[in-house]
Amino acid sequence: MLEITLFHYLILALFLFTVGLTGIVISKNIIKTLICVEIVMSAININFIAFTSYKNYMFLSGMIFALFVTAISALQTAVGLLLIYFIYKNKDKVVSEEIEELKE
Amino acid sequence: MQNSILPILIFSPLVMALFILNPLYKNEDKRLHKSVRIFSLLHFIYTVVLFVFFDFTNTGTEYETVIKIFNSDWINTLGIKAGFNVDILSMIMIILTAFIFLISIFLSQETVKKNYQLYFSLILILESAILGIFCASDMFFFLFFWEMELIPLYILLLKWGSSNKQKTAAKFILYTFFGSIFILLGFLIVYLYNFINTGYLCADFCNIDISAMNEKLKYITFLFLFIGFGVKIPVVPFHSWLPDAHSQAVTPVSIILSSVMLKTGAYGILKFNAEMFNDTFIKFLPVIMLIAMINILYASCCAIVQKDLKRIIAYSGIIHMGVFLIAISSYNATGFSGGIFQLVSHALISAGLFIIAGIIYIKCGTKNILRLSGLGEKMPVFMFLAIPVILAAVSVPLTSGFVSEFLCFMGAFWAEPNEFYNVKAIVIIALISMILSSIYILKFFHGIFFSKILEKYKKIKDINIYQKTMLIILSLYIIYFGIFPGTILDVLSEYSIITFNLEGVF
Amino acid sequence: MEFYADNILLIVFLPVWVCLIIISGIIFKITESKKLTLLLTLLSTFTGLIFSLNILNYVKTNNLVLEKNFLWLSTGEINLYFGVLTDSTSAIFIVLLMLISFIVQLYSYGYMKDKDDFRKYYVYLNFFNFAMSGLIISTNIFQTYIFWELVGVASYLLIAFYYRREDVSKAAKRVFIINRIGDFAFLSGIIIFIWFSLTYLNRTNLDILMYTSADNTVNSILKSAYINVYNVFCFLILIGCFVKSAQFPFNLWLTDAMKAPSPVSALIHSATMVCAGIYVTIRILPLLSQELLNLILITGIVTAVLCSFIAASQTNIKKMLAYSTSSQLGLIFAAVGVQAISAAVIYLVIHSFTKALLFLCAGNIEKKYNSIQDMDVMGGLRKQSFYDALYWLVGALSLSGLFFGGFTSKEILINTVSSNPAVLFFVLLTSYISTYYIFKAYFRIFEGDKTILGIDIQKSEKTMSASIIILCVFVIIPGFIFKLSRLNLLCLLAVTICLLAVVHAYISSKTSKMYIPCILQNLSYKELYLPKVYDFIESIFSKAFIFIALIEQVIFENIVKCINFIIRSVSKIISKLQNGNIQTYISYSIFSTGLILFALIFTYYVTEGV
Repeated sequence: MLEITLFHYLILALFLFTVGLTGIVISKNIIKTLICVEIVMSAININFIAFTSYKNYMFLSGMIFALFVTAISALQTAVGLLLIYFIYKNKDKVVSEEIEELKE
Repeated sequence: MQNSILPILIFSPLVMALFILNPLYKNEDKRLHKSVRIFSLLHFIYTVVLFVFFDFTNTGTEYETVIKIFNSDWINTLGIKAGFNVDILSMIMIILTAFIFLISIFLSQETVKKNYQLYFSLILILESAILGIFCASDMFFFLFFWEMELIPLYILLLKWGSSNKQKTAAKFILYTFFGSIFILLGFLIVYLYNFINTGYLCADFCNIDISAMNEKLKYITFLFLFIGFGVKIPVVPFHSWLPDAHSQAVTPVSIILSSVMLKTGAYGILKFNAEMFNDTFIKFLPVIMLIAMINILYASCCAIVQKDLKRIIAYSGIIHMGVFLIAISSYNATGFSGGIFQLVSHALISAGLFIIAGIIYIKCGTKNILRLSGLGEKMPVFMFLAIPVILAAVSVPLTSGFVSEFLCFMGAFWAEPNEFYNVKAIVIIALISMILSSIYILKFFHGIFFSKILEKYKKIKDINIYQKTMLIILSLYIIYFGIFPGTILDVLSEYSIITFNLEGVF
Repeated sequence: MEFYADNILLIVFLPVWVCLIIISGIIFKITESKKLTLLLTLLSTFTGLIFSLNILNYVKTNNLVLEKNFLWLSTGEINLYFGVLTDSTSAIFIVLLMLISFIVQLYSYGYMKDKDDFRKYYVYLNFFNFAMSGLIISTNIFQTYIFWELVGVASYLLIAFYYRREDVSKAAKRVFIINRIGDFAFLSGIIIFIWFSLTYLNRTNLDILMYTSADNTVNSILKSAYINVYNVFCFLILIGCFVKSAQFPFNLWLTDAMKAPSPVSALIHSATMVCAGIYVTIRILPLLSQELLNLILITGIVTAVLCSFIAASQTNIKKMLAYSTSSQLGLIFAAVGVQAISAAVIYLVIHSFTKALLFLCAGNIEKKYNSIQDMDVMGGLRKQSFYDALYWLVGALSLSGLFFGGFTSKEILINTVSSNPAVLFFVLLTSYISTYYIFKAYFRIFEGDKTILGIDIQKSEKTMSASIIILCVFVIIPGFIFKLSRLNLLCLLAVTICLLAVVHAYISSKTSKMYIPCILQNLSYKELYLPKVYDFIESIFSKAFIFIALIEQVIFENIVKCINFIIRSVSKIISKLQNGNIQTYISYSIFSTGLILFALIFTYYVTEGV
């Protein structure tokens, strides 16, 4: 039986982080991007919690920070959805390749 | 400041420029012209007084001044002072500058048609900048004035130019910036070397001794400085800004460009390349002579083909500066004094030629030789007064053009032989410019004044008293310097021997 | 007597004063009087004449050489001087200049009376006087060069006097440029000479370039040691002299110079300026090696024969006289080439008078025929104005060497070159052809039937006639100084040849045929195709200039365009990076973060050696 160490949790967090990051960069639909942001946030959470629990609860502030991250991600999703709503109103679709207003 | 002679000289045009911009002069053209003319006349008289009281036997510097703000230098931590001094060469250049600006301000009334306030203030800022170039004693202060002249010139070219303004002004700025980068690099190398060597931060180029610099570093710095000043002179690969700038600008600006601005480049070469980097200069002499010969012959061929009056004069400017370079590459007293005399003589001749072209442009509205013909019938006095200037451009004896050309070529003939080419043959080949200059100058002269007059020009009147006076004064100066060149030359030979470490040739 | 010699500079500077007075009169509009201008000019020339005659007398009787020098310019290595040299040669030339100048100025009053640029004309004439007298009294080659160019300028200004005509404009340009080529050679020669003297002579020896030091023993020693350099700069100076005196390859400018008014042609292009070349050659004669003397001889002979050959079939009076001038100067150069200086100078003086007389007569004829110069349409003028025919006949007899002054000078010349049979043959050939064309002109213009062209028979102006009569006197008198004891076989041979030529000319003018092979006649009429050669050379050069200027237009105008293009295209490529898509930007930042981390970890591992 393998013992599950800190290392495995970190690999999991890395994997989720990479998946989420790839999703942000690649996804054509903006809502998919938002979902992937959530994935990244959860990966970050796993990271923090893994470190506190495996280090004998030394850095308790890690857990508290994880709570912050969750809350902020929820808020961020709300704001993001609002922005997507306005983009949808103007353009009738949410394809990320067509949002190019930041060009000169 | 105990000694405020030079700062008054240099900053008074700046003050006057700012003063002109007040709303008192907004619609009062006559008053504006009068006040600017009186100011430039007073400024010129002040320069003449300085010139008369200058001690010409002192081959060092005089009137040294350092401007201190609240008792500390300009940029104290870097050791950069705002200092001025003049020596003989600077004094000659200053009086020449004041005279040329006087002429162009007097010519401005008829040639410039709008926005006088802005125009005169720009011209006066330009005058201040150029006087500063000739007087500065500190490397970065020199560069400050060098860059200061760019903005007024850009606006002058852009606002009052003819046909191709934007392209010309942009080209001018690009080329000059390109040169300034190299000058800045050169100065930085010298400055840092001085710091490493002596431990003091000092940018005063009279006190920097670079004899112990690494050979390769000296070559590179010399090359940078030569390219930087070569853009202004101009040296042939970098000359392309000059024909456009001289022909598209309005006449007073053309006069200032060709008579004074080219001399700032020459002054830079003399002060830095020849004086500071003396040993490297000796090694580079064959290159300079070859470049000068290309300058002369190439620009002559281009000048013969041109159809625009002012472009012909612009190319003749390149040729005369080529003669200056060939005189410098001789490295003897005749060459150097002839070269500096050539700067003065070319300024006067070029001013005269541009006045002729400017008057033609006012009267006939065109600068194209193909459309002009036969004006001598209606303007015989103008033709007669133009003859001394034309003859000086061809370097006929008894005009200053001949004296300078003869001394330059004679000095160049005595240059040290080198192993790349035969120096004497090159000088004789460059002397062919005598024949070529007669071709394009006569084309210029005959194209305007000779042959039958065209219908549309039959109503033209002869030139008025101001233009006559200007041409007469210039002709008198040219002939005076042709008959008595000793007034300037006697002083210059001793000065050049001491300043540039020339050895005797024979 | 010494007063005149001490004040020789007055001769040079008096015309300058008159010039300035007339100029200020024009500018300030003081007076419109033409008589005043004439009077001032004549006064200055007459004073010069009196002075120079006295100086000639003084110098000849005492056999002196006077010299005075003033320092003009002192550069670091060399001093340049202006000076006054008075010896017999310069005295003779100054007398010649003043005399002909006086006569021509008198003549011009009548010729130019109805033109409105009258006073400008006299300004230029005075300027020419100043320049030429300065040239003659100069002490060193450098000063000669200065006045040499000034004489060229004066001639250019006078040729361009009728500037409103298109052909005059082109002609004046060409004259100036060809003279410039000669000046270029001259100046190069001077520069090499100065370098040579300073290198090999002692530096304190400051009389380099001085004519009086040309005989110096030092010079002759140096000459034998460094003969090549001596040859080079003497050759260059000789080229300058050849151009100025219109010798063979360079004689084109003299025909272009005929566009000037006739008195100007009489003064400058026959009598004085073209003598400047000979004057300088005489001055530098001690420096020339034997090869160069042979070169002078050959050039002189070639010019003499060819130019008289061309003149034989010309129909334009002034063109014919121009070529005649070239050929006679060629004879004088030949005399200098065999080092017969006195013969050359005497021939020169008499030729100047004769040629000036012929040109003034041509001016008279021109005025009569309303400025037509073509001989083909003239005829029978003798019946209407007997005196013109008489003057021309006097000139013709003198030029051909049959009678009057020309006879004396030609006889002296033939006797001095008689040692060399080839030269003698060519000299006799030249005199034959000269007689032929000048008498053909006489018969064509004055004899024969009256033409249908209207003739302006008003009485000639008094000044014109008076000046021609004075000149006739000077042409006739030397003929009677001849000593009968010097008559010998050669003289008789020459006279016979010339009489044959007169007969030939008479027959020719009656039948309008030349009785020489057609090819030669064509060659002569087309001036040996020399103008075509010049035009060809000119077109080659203008193509070369256009080609070189093409580099300017193609390369330099477009350098900034090219740099502009390069920078713009690079920036277009780079600006594609900015596509407005946030995901692209995020990927950039991730990529760069990864790069930095990698770099940090890499350097950590490298430095720590793990």
